[in-house]
Amino acid sequence: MGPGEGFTLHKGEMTFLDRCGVCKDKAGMLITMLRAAGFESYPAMTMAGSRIDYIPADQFNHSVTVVKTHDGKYKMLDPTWVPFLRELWSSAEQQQGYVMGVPEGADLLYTPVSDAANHYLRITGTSELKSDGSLEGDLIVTAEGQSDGAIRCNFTGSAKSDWKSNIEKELLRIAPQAQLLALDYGKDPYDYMAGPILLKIKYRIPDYAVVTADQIVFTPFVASNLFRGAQGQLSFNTTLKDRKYSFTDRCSRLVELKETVKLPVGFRFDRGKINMHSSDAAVSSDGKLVQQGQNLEFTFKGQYNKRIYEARDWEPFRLAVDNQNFFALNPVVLIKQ
Amino acid sequence: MKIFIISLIIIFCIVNGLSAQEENADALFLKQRKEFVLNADGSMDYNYSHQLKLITYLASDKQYGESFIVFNPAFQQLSIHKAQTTMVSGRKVKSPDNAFNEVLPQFAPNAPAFNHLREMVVTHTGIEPGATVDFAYTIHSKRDFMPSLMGNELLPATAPVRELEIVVKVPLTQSISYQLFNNKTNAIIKSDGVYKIYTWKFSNVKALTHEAFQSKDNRLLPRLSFSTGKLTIEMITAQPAFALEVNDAMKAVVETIKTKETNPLQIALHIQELVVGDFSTIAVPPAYTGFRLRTPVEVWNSNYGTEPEKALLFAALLKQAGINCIVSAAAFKGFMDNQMANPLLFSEYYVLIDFGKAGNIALSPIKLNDQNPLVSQPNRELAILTPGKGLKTVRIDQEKNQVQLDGKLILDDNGKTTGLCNVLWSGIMQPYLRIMRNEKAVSGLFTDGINTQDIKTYIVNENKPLLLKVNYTIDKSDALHESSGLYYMSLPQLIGDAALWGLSELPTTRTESLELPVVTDQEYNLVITLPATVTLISPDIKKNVKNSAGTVEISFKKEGQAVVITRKLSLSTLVLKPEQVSDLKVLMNVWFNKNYRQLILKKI
Repeated sequence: MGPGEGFTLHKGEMTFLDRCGVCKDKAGMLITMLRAAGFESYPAMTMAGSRIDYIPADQFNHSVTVVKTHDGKYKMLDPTWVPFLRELWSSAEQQQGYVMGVPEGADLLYTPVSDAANHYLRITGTSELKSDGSLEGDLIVTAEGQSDGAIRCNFTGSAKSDWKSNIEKELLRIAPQAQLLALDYGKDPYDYMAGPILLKIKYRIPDYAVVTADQIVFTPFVASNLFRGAQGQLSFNTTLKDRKYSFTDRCSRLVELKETVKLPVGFRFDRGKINMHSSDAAVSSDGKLVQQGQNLEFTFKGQYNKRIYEARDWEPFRLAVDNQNFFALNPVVLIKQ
Repeated sequence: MKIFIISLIIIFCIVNGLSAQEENADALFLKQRKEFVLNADGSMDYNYSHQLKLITYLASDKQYGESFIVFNPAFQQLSIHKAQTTMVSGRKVKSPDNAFNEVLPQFAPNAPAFNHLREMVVTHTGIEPGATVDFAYTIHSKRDFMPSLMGNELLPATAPVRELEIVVKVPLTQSISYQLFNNKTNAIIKSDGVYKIYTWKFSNVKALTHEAFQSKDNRLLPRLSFSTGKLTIEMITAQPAFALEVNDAMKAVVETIKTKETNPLQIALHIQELVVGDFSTIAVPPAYTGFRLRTPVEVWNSNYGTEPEKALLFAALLKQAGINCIVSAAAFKGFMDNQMANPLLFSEYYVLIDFGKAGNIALSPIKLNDQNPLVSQPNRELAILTPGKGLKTVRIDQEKNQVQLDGKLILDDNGKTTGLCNVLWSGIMQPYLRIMRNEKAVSGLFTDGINTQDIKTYIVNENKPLLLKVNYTIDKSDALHESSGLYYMSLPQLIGDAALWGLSELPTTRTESLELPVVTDQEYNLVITLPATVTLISPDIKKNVKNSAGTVEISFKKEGQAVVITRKLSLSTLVLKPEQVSDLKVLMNVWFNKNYRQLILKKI
């Protein structure tokens, strides 16, 4: 606020009373509170969303906090980017350059990669495909880390009056005729400390499948790329064959999809089993569609291990995305026995 | 005793009503007051105050941390009386001195003529869920800044308002004309010996919603419009800008266009492309300049203008080209009160061109519409802004808005499709202006199933302002998409198809009426002949639904090697009440269903 701001860190008392401030004010507030609690804490500067070159110049756009832990190492904290995120350091800032303002001085450092498992998105469904082509089922959506934030922002980043319709729209994007029968988002989505976001959804979709005398054609609902907003990898155009330069996703991410579809009696999955698999240190994927008894089992796991990928990571990245899209874009054909 | 019980019931209802309102709100205006004063010396004051309770983190962290007040320092003076937060603990925190920062309004960059405008950003300190913000300010306007004291106040705000009061004070010798739309509250009119005071008091005003497809110009929302001026429009059109004078450079450009084109419509469209494309549009609402509009020459020389300024520039160039036109503004139907118009209600500006027998066509100075933008807008009126004349309005009729395709296609063994499609668009669906700009655009009017390169030839049988008939010869080499051993063939879809309107994500819960872009009849009749080597997997379909929103009919039927397909949609109700929206969803769910928009085939 106001002129003469620059790199000035305001006094904690001021920020505390104002209950507001830009990133450096919040970083300063946290430093004040940590010091009051007996910790050794300092400011640090970073360049959110872009790179820092190794030259002594002002290449910073964001201020954060470091705190010294019991082992003498410094831990990064970002009080600006983490409200309603279950992280103390936003993993949307992993692989990012920063300089600490510590008494002993510090060189340019980079934040570490955050394990994909810290940012899992799990969508688990059970459904029943009726012989008239309608689909009824339940979804359980849960997520952690940045993926938690992406799902939770349907609530914390949106007017309370829109909470239910935000989730309903996720279903309508796949099938405009979908009906949201029940939604349970827990007691209070704002209470992010209580645990990972957990949505329980009941739905029905009339006329979902194409039903003929001897075939049913449909796509497992969980395979249809629900909650795309939490799946940054799906926004990439994978028709591009090569990349010359590095590319950036929002965050590392683990996507785990699972659905058990109870099939109408007398129908079988014409291909019996489909496997889609890719393996690389940067990105891997494993998808399967198989009939087991009267159920069709769909599973997909996509592990995206970085935020900033090198050009050579593009091939495994696009392969994993294509594998996920394969199940979304290629309907299942059931044959009457 | 009886009175006591009734009182208890009333109190219970009020309390519960408020609770229900607050339950889904992120914030609540406990009080909001807007006072408009015309002083005896002609100056004006706008006194605003509110008491806002923040309920959620969204409200305190993202929505209400700052207030924004735009004003024109050349004519107006802003005084902030109060910016104080009462925290949950009861502690009162005033916004400090550095919480008041003037910036350039978001809509005024890159435009020196408007760079003197200012936006005061007030940072509210001490905010947290449960806190209450008290805020009050006055904007004092010099005499003659505005042509008259006027207001256009939507009653709903971003949060529910428990108590809303709107007050208009004018000298005893004056009076106001006013209209209260979609609300029946009566004004309390009294005098304090100096002013005649009009007061409206509202309670429990529900908040604006984010629902899509709300009424155009928000005409169905409660709104108060008032003005002291009987001659406001005459004062605005008396400005030099309405003389439509041009300079030598403008004359030269017009002459260049005229050497290339002789048809008046083509000349007008070329001038429109110039005004739309070569002059930046600055989104400064005219009220912030007191409806002062720069002359066409000034706009030409600066290379930018507001929408009404660009309309005047457009009109000046047309006039120079010898094309008869008038500047006009659109507003919702019924916005005028006893010939007294409130220009704050104008939402878009156009140039209305008289093409004689071809009729009037409105052209926008800020965008290139496919069709005359005023076709089939029965809930709007066009205000004619002619200097020296009182305001006249032009009614906009509902036309028949059709999309119709009759096609016969033959699929061969290799997935190649050939055949004929006879297509008709009418009313607002006819992309008349797009085609007049470039006749080749006719080949780009399919949005699915057939691409531009699939059109071998086309013949335009009829192209009138409200009707287009085209015969297409189709030659598509890759009509089938294979997946899991089945082949999928997308059916043709045309520009204007209701499936393209964005209705697919309508939630089931609706609180406001829904207004469709237009009422329409859409029809696709197709006969697709399959080769002997291909069998149809898609089942016979027969769907018929009729309800308060309209009708939909889908039919897929196999007749020998041919598939006979009929898809019909009639949306006959322009405005649907919230309880009717489910009927619309029923129709559209059938229309959208991808299983009814494609054929599934199998090679034998």
